[in-house]
Amino acid sequence: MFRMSQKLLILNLLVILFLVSSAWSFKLKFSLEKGSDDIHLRQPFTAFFDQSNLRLYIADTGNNRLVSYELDGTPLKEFDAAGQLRGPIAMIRDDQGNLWVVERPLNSLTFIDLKAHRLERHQIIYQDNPVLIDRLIWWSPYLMLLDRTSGKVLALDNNLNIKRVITPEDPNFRGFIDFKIKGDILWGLENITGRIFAINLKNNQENIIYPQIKMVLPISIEIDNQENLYILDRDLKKVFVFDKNGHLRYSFLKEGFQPGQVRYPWQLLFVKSNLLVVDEGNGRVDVWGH
Amino acid sequence: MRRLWLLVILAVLGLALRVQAGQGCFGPKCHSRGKIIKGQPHQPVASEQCDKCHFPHVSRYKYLLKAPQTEICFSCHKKIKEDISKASFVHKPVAEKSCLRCHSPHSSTHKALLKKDIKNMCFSCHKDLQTKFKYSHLPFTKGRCLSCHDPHFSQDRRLIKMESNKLCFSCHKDRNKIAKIHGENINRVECLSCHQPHGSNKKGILRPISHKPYAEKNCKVCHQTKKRGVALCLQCHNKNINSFEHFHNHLLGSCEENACLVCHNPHVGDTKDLLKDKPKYLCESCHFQVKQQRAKSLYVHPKCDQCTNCHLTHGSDHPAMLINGGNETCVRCHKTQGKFTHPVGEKVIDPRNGQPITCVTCHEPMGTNFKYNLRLSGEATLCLECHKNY
Repeated sequence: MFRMSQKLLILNLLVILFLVSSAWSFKLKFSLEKGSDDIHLRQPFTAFFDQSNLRLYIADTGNNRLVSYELDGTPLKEFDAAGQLRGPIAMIRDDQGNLWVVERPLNSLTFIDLKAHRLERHQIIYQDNPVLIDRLIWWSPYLMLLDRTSGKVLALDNNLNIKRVITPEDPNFRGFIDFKIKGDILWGLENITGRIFAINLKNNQENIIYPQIKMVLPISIEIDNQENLYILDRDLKKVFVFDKNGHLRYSFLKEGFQPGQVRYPWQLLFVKSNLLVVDEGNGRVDVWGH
Repeated sequence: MRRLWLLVILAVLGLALRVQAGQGCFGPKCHSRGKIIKGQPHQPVASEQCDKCHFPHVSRYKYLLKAPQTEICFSCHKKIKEDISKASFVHKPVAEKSCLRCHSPHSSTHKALLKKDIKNMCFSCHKDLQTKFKYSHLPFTKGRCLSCHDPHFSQDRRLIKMESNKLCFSCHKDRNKIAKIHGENINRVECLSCHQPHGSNKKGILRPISHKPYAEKNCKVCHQTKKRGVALCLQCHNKNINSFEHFHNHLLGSCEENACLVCHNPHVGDTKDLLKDKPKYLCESCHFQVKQQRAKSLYVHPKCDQCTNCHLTHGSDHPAMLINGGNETCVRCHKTQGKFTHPVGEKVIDPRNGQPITCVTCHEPMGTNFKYNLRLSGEATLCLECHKNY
């Protein structure tokens, strides 16, 4: 009996040690706070990592501009399309090096050809409804965007025709609030409930993961190489890390103003092994690494 | 002589046991049975077990109670205690542990040891409830509040006894009759979304304000159109789409077939914007942590439950969907603070994050444990966050 309880105790200690070490495994490496012009970010919403040139781009929404950085956090350039950009909340750079920017105040999917100095604004309609464009991902050759009106992910071709609509078959589906694509799997985070839908874009197989804690306002999702799921809760000001079965492994972050703390976080993004937390409230992007 | 002593000791012991069992409490010189027992007695009173609740000599609690009042009640009424702990919503007197606000501990001439009959008991607090209607619901007219409501707890914020449609259909059993008016959708729609359960001045006890096409019986405007989803609403309310084109918005596509119906009722409502519920309750149905924060905070903004005073409902360019910036929203009411205060505004930068200082940098209106809704103690801690060498 005694031996049994001793074993249990040791097991418990090992579990606790594992959890604690995991929780401490992320450390704040640095923060992206300013552009190269020394102007502080204002209400940044999203970050984009360009694999081709290894640069980070931040949608500096409140300053109506995009800001690029080296991977080590050195600010490079600011871009506002000669003062034309209005409240960019998301951006990507496609295979040809063109920018696609979501200008929320105009509800525009804006195409920017940097070489030709050309800017075109587009409104998208899906089933007679105006698409309220939100998150963007380039999944060659498609531009994948989240439509807040329908809660679905739309795949657009070069001519901005909707080629595919990605939505789970679950009749209780309540719309996506964020999504990421890793390989052929689209990981969608459901509004309010925080359920995670893993949809294979090749064979349409669908898997639902139920996080085993109740969150308040799940707003962004990320996935690491081990398929651990990272969910950012904007109201609880925390990142919850779940295993692929939805069991909570640990959580980190807390509310505050200091670097490493968040006020109104909006997006999670893995860049290499670093996790970026874009915090609109504190006007910065915290880069967490091991 | 020995026998006499033995008799005396037995007599004293007997008296003591009698007092302990409560049988000695009632008497012409002490607690009058007639005054205490009026009507149906509480079971311990009926069996004269006063000691179940009271000490005979001294106690740290009022009325010589053995423990705080609620603890005593729950020591027997265990099931209620257990159910309350699992319930989502608890009636205020229960949450405040005031069983005696409604119940009489010794006896009552009313059911369930209530202090008054049910109707008068409920209306002694719910004084603002409208009682006169052109068309009234029968249980309400007859004061049978408990036909629909549970007085202690519920999984529904209205403290109704069961899921609302189930509750309605428990009396309104003729489904065919209901289906004649409502079509085959009777299981898909919530009765209470259109019907006011107490009464109304509209036939069918409908909620008072009608959507124009519904009032004009012009159903085909919405029901015979190819438009689906938000587009259906936008065919008339076309300017409303702009109100969502902000950094933050409440457009929850797929939460309902038509995202507008997450918050709005397409037929009737209590407010002119046909909200499904009062703003406070509607907002809390998703933002439930706000209610929790409010409940556990010592200092809460006095208008904290009037969400739309400070927050926009469709879209906003400000965090927390504030009506305006963190200063402009507050100075609409706090006018003097807008002129004389700790420096705030675009040119006053918070050293912690490089952002302009606003009222909400230091204050948290949704509730904190510090005076003036400060985020930290105003004695020093809060100031030292920025003024480190002070």
